[in-house]
Amino acid sequence: MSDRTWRNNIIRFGVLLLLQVFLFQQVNWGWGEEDVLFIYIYPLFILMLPIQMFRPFVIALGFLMGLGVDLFYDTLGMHAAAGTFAAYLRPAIFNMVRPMNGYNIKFGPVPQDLGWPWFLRVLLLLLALDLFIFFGAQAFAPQFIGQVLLKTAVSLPPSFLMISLGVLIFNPKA
Amino acid sequence: MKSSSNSPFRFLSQMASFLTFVGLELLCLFLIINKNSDQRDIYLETKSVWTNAIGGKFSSWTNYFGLRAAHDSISELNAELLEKLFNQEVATGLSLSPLIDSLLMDTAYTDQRYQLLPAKIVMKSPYSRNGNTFNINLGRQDGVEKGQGVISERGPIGIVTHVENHYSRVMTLLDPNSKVSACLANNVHGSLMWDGDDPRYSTLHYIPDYITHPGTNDTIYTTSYSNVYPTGIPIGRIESYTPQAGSGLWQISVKLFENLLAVDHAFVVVDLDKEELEALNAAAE
Repeated sequence: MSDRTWRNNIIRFGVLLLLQVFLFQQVNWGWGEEDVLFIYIYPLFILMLPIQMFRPFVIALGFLMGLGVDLFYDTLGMHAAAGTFAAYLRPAIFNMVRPMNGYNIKFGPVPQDLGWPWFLRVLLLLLALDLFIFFGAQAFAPQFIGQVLLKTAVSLPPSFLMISLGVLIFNPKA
Repeated sequence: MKSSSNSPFRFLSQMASFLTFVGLELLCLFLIINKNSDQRDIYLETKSVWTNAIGGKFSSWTNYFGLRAAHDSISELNAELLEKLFNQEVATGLSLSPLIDSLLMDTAYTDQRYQLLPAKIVMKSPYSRNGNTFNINLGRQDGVEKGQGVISERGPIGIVTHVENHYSRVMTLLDPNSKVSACLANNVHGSLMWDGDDPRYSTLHYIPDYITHPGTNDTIYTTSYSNVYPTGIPIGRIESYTPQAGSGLWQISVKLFENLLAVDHAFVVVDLDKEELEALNAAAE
């Protein structure tokens, strides 16, 4: 893991956190008593951590990313739980969406290295997982499973779209 | 990711990942519950529901085991009381209890007529069709006399035929020579005799068919007409009855309440008015 990668990921942590809490926190929409549409872009940080990174470290960083978001969202522990979960299952997702030739040790988890189809699939799975765990932690009771699934289903497309557009525009490097 | 799936490093890495994951998720759970009021309420509510459910189950369990303990202590108490009761009776040589005495007392007499002497059956003759006898641990010194009846809680057992100082011999109902004055519920009386067939059954004779018609499962009782047993001790239940050809009498098979082959303790019935009644009989002669 080069200095450049370190630097990129640290910058990404800060930028995503700032965008999340100062821009996308404004988005909350729903038609009934409860808002169901939210945009969460911070899971991109977890996705873009180096593929070969020591796994417990990935998990700890996922926890920290979620915790950072939690500090501004007044949901202490919930995004942290979701980020931890997503980071823990990231290798499994990478395995599911394995490229034909496997993962080259030089590749980073970015479209320019592994292609857009790979990137979008991984993003979809990771984001869905993160959102589901977060909304689950927010509801905190099994009888709200319907509400949890609704929020996940409604929030997933806009979050997915925002992250994809951001990656497309800024074309980040590993 | 190179194919290093078998390397110990990978295994350790997976273990470390898992432990990190679990540890951080637990930390998250702690934060969620302690720093978010909605989730804390849900947590506390769930916790109280489960605590109550488990606590309720546990307390019903402890109640159940408590029941067993209570039963044991009651059993012990019962044994103790019975022991005291019997010891007292042995010591005083007096009645079993006022209640039973009053039940057995003939209503025509205002004074106590019967006394019960608790006895143990110390010897039984081997079962035989030709007659069965018991020896009991009461004798002349205890007030036992020839001709007194012997009963148990479940019915008459026999009659005292021979008395020694400390022991007596009892001829049981299961003896061809035994005759017990017995009656139906309507006081029509006959004589209960054993025909040597079956130790569970005896036969009631001399019930005239022009006076009464017995019914299956009717209870038959002792009478005091022969000065052996008090009146009204249940003996057994009518199993079957057939008219005796040409005699105008019923032959009634009676299932005895007491299992005479298994009984191990008894009460000797002392009739306090016996002398008076016998004097009357003697005077009439």
